[in-house]
Amino acid sequence: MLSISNSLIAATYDIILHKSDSGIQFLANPTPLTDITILKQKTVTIKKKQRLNFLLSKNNDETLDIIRVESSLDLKVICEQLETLPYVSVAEPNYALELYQETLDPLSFKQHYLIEDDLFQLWSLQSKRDVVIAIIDTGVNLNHDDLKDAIYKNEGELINGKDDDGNGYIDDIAGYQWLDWLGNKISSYPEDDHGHGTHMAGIIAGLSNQKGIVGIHPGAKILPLKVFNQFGIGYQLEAALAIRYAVDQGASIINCSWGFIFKTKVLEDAIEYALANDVIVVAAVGNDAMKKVMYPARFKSVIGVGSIEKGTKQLESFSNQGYGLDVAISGKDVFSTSLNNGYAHLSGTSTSTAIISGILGRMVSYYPNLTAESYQSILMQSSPKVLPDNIRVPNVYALLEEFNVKAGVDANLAFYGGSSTSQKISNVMVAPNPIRSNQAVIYFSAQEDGLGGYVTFYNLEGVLQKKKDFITQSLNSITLNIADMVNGTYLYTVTLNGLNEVHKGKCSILR
Amino acid sequence: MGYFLVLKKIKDKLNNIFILLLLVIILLSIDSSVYAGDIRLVKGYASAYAVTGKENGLEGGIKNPATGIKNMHRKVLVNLNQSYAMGIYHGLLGFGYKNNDTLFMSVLLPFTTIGNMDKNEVIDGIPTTTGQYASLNTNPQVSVATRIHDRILIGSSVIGLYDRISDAVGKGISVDTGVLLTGGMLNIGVSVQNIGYRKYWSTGKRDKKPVQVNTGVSIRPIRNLEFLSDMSIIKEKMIKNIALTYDLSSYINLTVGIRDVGMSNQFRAGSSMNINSLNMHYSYGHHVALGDSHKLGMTVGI
Repeated sequence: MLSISNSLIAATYDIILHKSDSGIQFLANPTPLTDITILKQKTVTIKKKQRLNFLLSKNNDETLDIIRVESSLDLKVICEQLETLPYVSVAEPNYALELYQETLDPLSFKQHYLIEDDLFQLWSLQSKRDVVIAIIDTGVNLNHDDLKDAIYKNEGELINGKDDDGNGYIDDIAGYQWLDWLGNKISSYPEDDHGHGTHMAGIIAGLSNQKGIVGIHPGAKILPLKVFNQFGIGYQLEAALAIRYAVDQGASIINCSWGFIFKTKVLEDAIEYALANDVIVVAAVGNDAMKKVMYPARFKSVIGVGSIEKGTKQLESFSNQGYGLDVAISGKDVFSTSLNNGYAHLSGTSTSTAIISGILGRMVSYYPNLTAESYQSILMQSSPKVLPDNIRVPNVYALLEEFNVKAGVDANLAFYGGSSTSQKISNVMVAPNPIRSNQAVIYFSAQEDGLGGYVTFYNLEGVLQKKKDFITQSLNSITLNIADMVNGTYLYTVTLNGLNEVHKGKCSILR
Repeated sequence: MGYFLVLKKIKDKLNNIFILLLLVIILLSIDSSVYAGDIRLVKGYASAYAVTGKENGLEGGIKNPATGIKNMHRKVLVNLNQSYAMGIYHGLLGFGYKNNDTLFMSVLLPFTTIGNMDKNEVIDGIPTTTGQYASLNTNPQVSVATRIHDRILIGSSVIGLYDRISDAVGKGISVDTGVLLTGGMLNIGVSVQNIGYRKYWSTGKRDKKPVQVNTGVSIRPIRNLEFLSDMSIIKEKMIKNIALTYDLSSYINLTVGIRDVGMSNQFRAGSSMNINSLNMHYSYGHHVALGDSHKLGMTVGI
């Protein structure tokens, strides 16, 4: 077990050891190693949920060993050396994870993403059951006014120093934390001391309570699983344990706003476990501006999420891209909950991931009986590819269409309890554009039915070409006959009578 | 003597009014969203385009080829208009040359570029943005004007038409012609535009435009003050422009005008400044539906 070190500078590494086919663990039969000193060692039991387990009376749980070693050897060489041992099939580093956030900004009280991406229209999907969304992150500010009533409660557990529900964890009434399995830094108190996890929780499930912000799916139950410390440092083994815990506690969605360039088998196995149990895993692609997607987003069945700039429809400069990037949505200056009952802006693919988790949460809540694969499929079908990066971007109206639900949530009512100061019309668009027929169709959505207004076409000199009156419905398409207009670029307006509300845009006739 | 004192007081009051107007214009310009409307003209824009009957320098050739001759010899014109809010950019480059006292020539290159337009499709019944595209329009024109009488100028322009919208191109040609009668206080102009206008598109489409007939007058009752008015008829549509220009001094000119195009009346105002052979212009426009515009221009002698 002890070994000889050489004169080079030694470093410490945490390494996960998977047992060999012999079924004997390394720690049960330790073998002396050359040039490697084992400083710490511990066994991990990986519980496996089997639907027919109780009938077969067969224990499918697996065990892994994790060791902390000191050595001057290269990490790869250490793992290779460990894999030569008879009781080790795989030796892999317990890679550190990275939280995908950009800078934290001062407080502000605007959630632009809800408006820009029309996410508030998702509230047209009436919630039909509670959905548990696990947030594997830095924990959650459990007493935050906008979150405290959204925290998942484990009804089978009491705070009594016992494992009442027999899930292997004591007093886990509202999540759990695994900071360092080797160092025994585990606890039933997943309070956030960093801020990242609280931010994700607010995006997903901020309560609609006339305070602060509101989440994309305010009725969701947040399962806070803390695997990052106050410095944002976390590891793959601990994350894998958290994923398995989330599955066993009945989470429908697991939000992973983090990742790393290398994968471990232990993390991959945990993801497979989640997918095998019909749980949706959503993960950030990373903030390194690389053409490579990080793990776990890179795993095939995980929804990899990037950030897109709403105006240009290009990927944000920080967003990774490549195989594994499935969908992208706003991720810059996203406003949400923060530590100490506060609020803050945050940018990064982390926030985009939380937005997608919120969307999926709303979908699951409205239509509970589909499979994880079906929800993923619906999300992709309603996310058309958008140039120039050819990335899928969710279209909320298309999503509602998939569920045959008509959009019609009044954003003012939703946000401000009825005080109406903002615009009545949104999503104004000429389609198709360029116009290649003798008819131009202007689409827009209106917050109220029965409002009077008119659409106009001007040439670039500002001379009126066409005008047509309308009365609003929730979804509107106004058709203008433009047969007598020549090819060229024109300006159009949609105006509401008496409300000083004018929407302008450009379009081209190209026949 | 008293009569001249009254005139001087009136002139001082007018000066004060125009200075106040200029301040209002500048204030209106601050922090207003920019709309790039028509047009490459700057001085003409300020006068609401009522330039059919006015000797207007190089810019005038855009509306009446007979008018764009005043003080244009060896002059280079640059007008630019940026619109950050809508991604529309207008420009006009021009050069004038006088061969002798009767033959004038000018070359004008107006252009408009528009970027960041959404390419939209209806997919499964849902309007969806699938990309972006840009457009470019330029109508290079060569104008020739000649004085056929002490008080009569005639001119013609041959105009090349070029448009690119997304991946399609339109090309064609058109002719303008005009006449200007000059008579001391009163000028009268008539022009006919879009003669033989044909534009052939790579999509197979052929565009025709009806001719546009412009008639206009300019009256200068006193040396500093000029009233402008013109009217354009395109099929049944009629556009009326009226304007007032006032020379505050030999260096500064102020202009205000209204363009009446039915429900989209446009108020416009501007100022130009002369320093030796350099003339600089600023114009402001307000469109009831589309918003505000700002334009800058410069003419310099070489």
